[in-house]
Amino acid sequence: MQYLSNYATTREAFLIFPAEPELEPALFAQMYNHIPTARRITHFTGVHWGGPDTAEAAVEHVRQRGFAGGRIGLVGRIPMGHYGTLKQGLPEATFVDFTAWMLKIRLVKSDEELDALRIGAEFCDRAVEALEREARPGISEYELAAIVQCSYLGSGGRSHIHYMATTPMSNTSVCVPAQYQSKRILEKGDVLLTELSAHYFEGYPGQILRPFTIGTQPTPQYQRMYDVAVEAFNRIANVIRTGANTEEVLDAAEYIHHAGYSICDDLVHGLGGGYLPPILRTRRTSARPAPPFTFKENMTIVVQPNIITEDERMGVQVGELLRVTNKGVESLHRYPMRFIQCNA
Amino acid sequence: MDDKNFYPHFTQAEFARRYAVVRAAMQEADLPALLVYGIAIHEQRSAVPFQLRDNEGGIPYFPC
Repeated sequence: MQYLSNYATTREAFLIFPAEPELEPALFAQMYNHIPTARRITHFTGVHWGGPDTAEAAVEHVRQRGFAGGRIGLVGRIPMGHYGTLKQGLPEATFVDFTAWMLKIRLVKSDEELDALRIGAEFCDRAVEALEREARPGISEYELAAIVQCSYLGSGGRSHIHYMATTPMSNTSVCVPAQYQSKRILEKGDVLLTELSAHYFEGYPGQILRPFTIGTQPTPQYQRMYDVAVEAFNRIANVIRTGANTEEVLDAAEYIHHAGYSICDDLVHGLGGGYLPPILRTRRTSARPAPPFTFKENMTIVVQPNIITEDERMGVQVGELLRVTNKGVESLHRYPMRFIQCNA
Repeated sequence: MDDKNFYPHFTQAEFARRYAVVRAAMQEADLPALLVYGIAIHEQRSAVPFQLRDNEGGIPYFPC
């Protein structure tokens, strides 16, 4: 939706996009009070309220445009009720799932898209710097979320995700950053695991993953896990370049298991316009073999080894958004790779 | 300045590039039109955009 219209859906919307360049696209959006803003943001002028049923509005427009009897490409996860409305309202049409095509188109980024991702990466770096400066014993995980968001909100940044979790290094119970922050109060001796992602252009976030300690240095066990995570990151990043394939990544990732650890989170994923292929885990933690995939120049990926113990009670995660080049990868972030110590 | 420019906006050239790439793929797939559905990420965590009208069932409903 946003890729073709510049409008990031606030509620729900249908976009009718004709192949004929002379025909303007049309957007039918919810809700009525969202339409004035949608008109200011959308790249073209045909922006309309979707009425009491957005799918019915789309059907009516498809009929008026003369597309009702032909092949129509569907993109996105259309609710079953809406799909029923399309089938019933356009009985002569042949629907074709075009979603995978759109994902494929979005894998390689243009210069403008890379610029947008660099802005997102800058916001993420600011968030890490803010946590380094302000995370301390006595504040809650909720306040960590406030620290993160306040670092970029005033510059137009918005949160994509901020996964964070804390646990005492002496009595660990968490191995991966959490999707929701809790009311837990940070204590001296905690480890803070983070996955931070923010954007300026909707859908074009940076992403950075760093561990922190609170009020002390890492324990030897955490330091070793961190060292393994960084080594895994470097080994994987070093094999990725234009023309490399996923088998090379998976070979490099075997180091994690040889070092005595496993993973919880995905190891590698595309980012920028969605959670994109290749989505990789290690061979022994994958539910099924990774499909063949060859990296191309200007794909953007996150390498993010989340090194954990087999009992899933202890872990660290490092990583960041990278651009694939002919010679290797380029980080879109400027914050250095390190185990950050707050108030140590 | 057009008030559109107060929001993040890719350039005309970028949209021309996107449209050309997508239309080429549509031609290859023999598709005169796309119907693209979008839903806000935060809405995926909430209920389906649906309200009950009565005890008999529901209708898709969007109050303004």
